[in-house]
Amino acid sequence: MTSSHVPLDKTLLRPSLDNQPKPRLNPFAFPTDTDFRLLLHVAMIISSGLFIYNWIYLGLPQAQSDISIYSRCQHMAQIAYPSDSLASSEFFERCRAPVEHVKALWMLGGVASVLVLAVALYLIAPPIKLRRQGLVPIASDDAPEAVIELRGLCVKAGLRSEPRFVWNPLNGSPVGLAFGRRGSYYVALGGGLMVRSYVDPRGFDAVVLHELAHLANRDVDKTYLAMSLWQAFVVLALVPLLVTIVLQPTPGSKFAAAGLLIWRVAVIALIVYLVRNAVLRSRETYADLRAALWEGSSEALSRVLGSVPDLPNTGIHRLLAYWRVHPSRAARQRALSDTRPLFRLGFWDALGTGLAAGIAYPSLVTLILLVFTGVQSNLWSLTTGELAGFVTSIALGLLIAGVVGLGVWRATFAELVDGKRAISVAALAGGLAIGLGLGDWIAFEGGFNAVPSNPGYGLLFGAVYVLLLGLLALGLFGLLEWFAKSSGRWLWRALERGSVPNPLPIVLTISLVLSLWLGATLQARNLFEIGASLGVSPLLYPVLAGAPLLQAVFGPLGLVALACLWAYPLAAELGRTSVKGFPAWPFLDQPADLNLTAPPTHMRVARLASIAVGAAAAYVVVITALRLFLRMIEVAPQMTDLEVLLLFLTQVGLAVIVQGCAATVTAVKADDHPVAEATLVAFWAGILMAVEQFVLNVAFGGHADPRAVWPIFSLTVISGGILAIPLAWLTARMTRRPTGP
Amino acid sequence: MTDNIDPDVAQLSRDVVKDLAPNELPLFGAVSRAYAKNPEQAEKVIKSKDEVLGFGLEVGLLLTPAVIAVAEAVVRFLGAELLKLGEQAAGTAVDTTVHNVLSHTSEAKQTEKARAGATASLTSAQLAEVRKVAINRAISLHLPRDQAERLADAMVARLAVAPG
Repeated sequence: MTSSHVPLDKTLLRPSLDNQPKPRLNPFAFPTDTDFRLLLHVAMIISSGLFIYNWIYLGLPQAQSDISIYSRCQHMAQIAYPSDSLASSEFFERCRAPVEHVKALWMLGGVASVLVLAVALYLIAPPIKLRRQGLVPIASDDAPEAVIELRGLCVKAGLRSEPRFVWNPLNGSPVGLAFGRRGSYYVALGGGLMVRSYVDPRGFDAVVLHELAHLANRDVDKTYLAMSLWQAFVVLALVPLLVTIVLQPTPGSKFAAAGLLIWRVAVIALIVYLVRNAVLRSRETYADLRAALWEGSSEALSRVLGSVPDLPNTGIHRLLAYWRVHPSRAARQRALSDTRPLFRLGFWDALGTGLAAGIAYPSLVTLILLVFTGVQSNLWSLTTGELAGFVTSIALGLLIAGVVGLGVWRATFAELVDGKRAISVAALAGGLAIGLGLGDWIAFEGGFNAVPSNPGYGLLFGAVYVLLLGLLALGLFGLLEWFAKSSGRWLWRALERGSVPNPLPIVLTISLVLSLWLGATLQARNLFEIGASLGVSPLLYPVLAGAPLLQAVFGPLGLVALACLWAYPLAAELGRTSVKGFPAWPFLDQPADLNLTAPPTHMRVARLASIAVGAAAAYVVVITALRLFLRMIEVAPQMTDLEVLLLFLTQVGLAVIVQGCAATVTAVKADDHPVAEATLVAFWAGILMAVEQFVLNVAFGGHADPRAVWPIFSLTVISGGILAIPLAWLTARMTRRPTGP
Repeated sequence: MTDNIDPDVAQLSRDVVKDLAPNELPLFGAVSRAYAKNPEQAEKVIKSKDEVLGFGLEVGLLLTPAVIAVAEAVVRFLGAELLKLGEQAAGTAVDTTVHNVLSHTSEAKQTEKARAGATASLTSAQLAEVRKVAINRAISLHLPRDQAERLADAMVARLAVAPG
């Protein structure tokens, strides 16, 4: 790392001279892939565990008595409310609630048992490894020179507490292995490696430093937790599930259960296993880099890596690479000289994340529904089912933000420095959407999804389904594109301030916006799937899919998400401080040369505010004229309900048109962030116009009805804000301006 | 279990390690002590594959434990062979003879043995048998054939020095 003093103001860092080696970007300034993948691993295990324990519950004797309780509750509900289906349904919900709560507890208990076993395995793994592999502390008598060297390497690594070095003198392997648990770490050295300390001291140092780097990178716990989770999942989830299939009473039910579950078990187990291996692989490259940094050179490590056997990177071997727990030799050697691959995220990462989220969604919704059975919710006019969908979407939004959002954040940093895109946002959006779509069918609940048997209806079902996925992908594309561009401003600010960027606000922002979009689209998909399974007319499919979308977009979360679109880039402008000199954190090496280009321009808040106020002023003139005109022709005082509704819609419509005009004007003049600036103007103007509508309504003899506040406010602000997005984008394209936030 | 391996085995295996893997000599003491503590466990370790995690080097071999295991088999064979031939009458004497066979091959002991005039040597047929025993033992430890043959040859070479 470096700390030279090149002025930063009015410039963008871009180390260049194409024919010179590029300075390596510093991956340690960002959360690592290991963290992302462990998160996915845990999410997959929890969601699959929930379904598995739900399924196992159905095989318990308790489930048989539950069925009689359901029947009794239904019977009682019909007797209590013979002509009120809503009240009857609520009674039935309350009646069966205790049963569902027990089932929810069982599911949670099952998942908790998997997690507890995983933690227990993680805790007992070190002593078991020590005993099984006959590992003993390396005594000074055994290899005095090596022991002194090991102490020196710990000092070089600057570790707060030294690990215990152990070995089995009979084990001839030339490797090291960092293992242990929090507060008690070991580094095991093979006898072959100890021999290397005499014949190739630099190679010995490189391997030991690599192991110490695992400790410094804090990935040992993550690694062994990932392995323990997998083992616990196999023992306490997969095996019991298979047992329930074998124990089915009749060959027919055995066959049905197998057809429903076996391939899903196989696919989910495969995904969990591959994600686990991805956790194990990703940590190695980071450890290599850290070790090379400590050593001050990657020559020795690269030479040692040269002796690692490697598979060809073609055909089947390319696929087998995903099976391995180490990256290929070539990839590791490449990463030592160029860290940029660590700043990329691809289609497959997004697909994996989408699959994890897609598989998790139905299980989490089911769990929440079971927990809240019998509880009548009236929050924001959402039903318990809708709330369950949104709560789940928030969880999945966090997961996707943690994996894909942070990946985009890192890639944006590479783009900022290199001046070219490190990722394809379209590929990420596509991967996520496909994963979410496939996950719905791979999930165990997918076995209960019903497709209309009529070929025509089936075709329509498929078309609406694909359309929804397309809409999901389109929204994800827009959000990720917006996020990438806005993140550039935050990262630039971090460069200006000389501080390492804090990812937490970033994750929370993108997760909030993603949650809303996922909540709306997945809810729409669920509702239309349920409608299809209940035999609803296919003509109603678009209505079933569209209603939740509109409900979500025009709800409070829609407003918050819309505000995020402009608030996130605007927040980067706040508290601007510029530190003289070149920040230390962006590179691992001293850049040979800096090709400096202009930074993104700042948002001119005063100008944007004046446009919003101007639009609101124009609107108040128009709306006052309208109301005066209506009074003149004597319509207003005696308006019917229909006329009131028409007047309301006209006022909102006019407000939206004025917001659209203001957004277009803003986008014409905007430099780097037309969409964000236009949305900001539309949003702020919308707030003012909503207030004007309310006040004018009272002024012209209307009631100051508090119930009217939210509809006026949400319809005006959100409609105008949504209209501003495509208008700004198109305006920016037509005026050849960059289509950023 | 003991702290140290049989001195004859130690002598033979150290000589062979010196020939085949001199880099491992600094660790010979530690390895032989670990071997002596639990020979059965040692054999398992020699045969076992490496841990999947770790640095990523998946192949590698420390020759010393295998050499000790093979030397042990060879020394055992020699003892039995000499006993069978009836060259000595008592078990203790056989031990001495094995020791003689080994020590006349050791450079350090050459002078001493020459002075004592006590020499013992193996016939070509016996050496061929020794080679066979060594190869079989090495292969039983999952050593590749060519490595097993090299180890056996080195062992035979140590035993084949003609008496003075």
